[in-house]
Amino acid sequence: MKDPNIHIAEMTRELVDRLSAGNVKESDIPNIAQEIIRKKRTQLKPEIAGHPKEGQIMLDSFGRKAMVYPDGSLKELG
Amino acid sequence: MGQIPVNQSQTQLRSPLMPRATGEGQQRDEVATKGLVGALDNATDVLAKVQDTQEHNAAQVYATEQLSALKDKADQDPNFKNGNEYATEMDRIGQDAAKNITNTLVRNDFMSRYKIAANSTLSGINNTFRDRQLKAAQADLLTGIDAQQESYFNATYPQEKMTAAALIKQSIEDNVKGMVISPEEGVKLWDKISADLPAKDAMRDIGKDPTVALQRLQTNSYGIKDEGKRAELIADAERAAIREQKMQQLGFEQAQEQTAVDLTSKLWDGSLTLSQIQDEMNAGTLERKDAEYLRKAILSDRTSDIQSATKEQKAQTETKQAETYMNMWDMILKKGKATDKRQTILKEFSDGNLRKEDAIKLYTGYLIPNQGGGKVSLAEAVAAEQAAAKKNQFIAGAIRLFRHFWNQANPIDEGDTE
Repeated sequence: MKDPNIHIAEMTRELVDRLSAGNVKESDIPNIAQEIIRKKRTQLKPEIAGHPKEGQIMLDSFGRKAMVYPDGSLKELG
Repeated sequence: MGQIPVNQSQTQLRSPLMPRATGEGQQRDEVATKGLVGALDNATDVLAKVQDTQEHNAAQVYATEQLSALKDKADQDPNFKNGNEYATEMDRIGQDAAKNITNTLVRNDFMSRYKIAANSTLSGINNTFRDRQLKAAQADLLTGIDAQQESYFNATYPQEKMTAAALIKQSIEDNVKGMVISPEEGVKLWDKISADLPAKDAMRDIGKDPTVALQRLQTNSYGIKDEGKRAELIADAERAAIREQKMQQLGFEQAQEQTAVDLTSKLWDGSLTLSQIQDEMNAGTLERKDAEYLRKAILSDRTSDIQSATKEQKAQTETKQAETYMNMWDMILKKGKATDKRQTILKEFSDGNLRKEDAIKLYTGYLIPNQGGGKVSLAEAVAAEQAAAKKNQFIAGAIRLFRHFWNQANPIDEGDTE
């Protein structure tokens, strides 16, 4: 398993590239960051892409539940 | 010198013959005696020759040593005028050496040989002196030319320079006439001096006023014939002019800072050379620490493509570089001197802990701009700093989000589904 810093660095690099590429408003930054996170999540777990569009419940390493959607977004449950 | 006892030897040889001088036996004895005397005479001759040879040799050794010492003395003599004063000394040495030779013929023979040796030594002394005179005259010529070149460099107008150059040529010609140098040497010397003078003139001007020197080099008012040399001098003058301009505008520390930034930009585009670093160091416009990091960075950049690494090493490097990259963000987003941040990024890159593309982006895009880098108004400087700070704030927020994602909201570690 890769060092977490590698994934965080990859996401940061992508964010930096996108910020450098064009005019980005301050209000866009959270959305861009979330988009990068979703992309990373599906990259790490490709099967997420096959989830139904209503989402599928998954557990994290702390035992917490979340509804995970095919685009990599999620909603924490409970 | 030891003497061979000739008479004693003869006495010893003759003594056993004396009791046998009687009758028939006496006749035989006389015959025998005659033969023996003849033999003895021959032996005496041989012994005398041995003695003569020894005396001749001893005189020769003495004379050779003395002549050699005399030549050494003459060669070092600062007041040497001519060889005559040494000729008298040579006569004395000859007489001294010959006085122990008992045989007149041998002595005459020695003296005739000695005169040849003495003349040869005298001629050697005179030759060495002439060489010394010649070398001294040649040194005088070159010293004189140095002074004349100074006049050339110090002359303001072209006409004055031409006169100064003509005087140098005249000096060389005078020395050719005076046989201090040969005509060929004279031509060679003038060709070299006349070819070097304009370039040397430009170099001196670069040291004094590089901006003026640069203008003059561009129009070639120096008259430099070698275009390669002129291009080289233009590059030197440009560097010196920029340095001087920076020093004037920014002051010493900021000029160093700006040089470091400029050279680092060259490092990123691959055009930085070790000699450029050395030039700036020599001119005092680059801090030693920056020079060290830049030098190391060039070498590490050059060798990175040719070094092979195992899969495991590559993974370790990737981990280290990711960790350093994030640490650099932490550093950038904290308060601190831009110079220190800049140097830290450069150092981490030169140590191989940072990928080149990351280093470039961090260095050029996200450092708070250093306001020593150019002529900007205070308002522009503040605006630039605020813009950079705001951009960095966005990134700081996003990084926090990424970390949060990884540490707190990563429900895919286990991959369990319901």
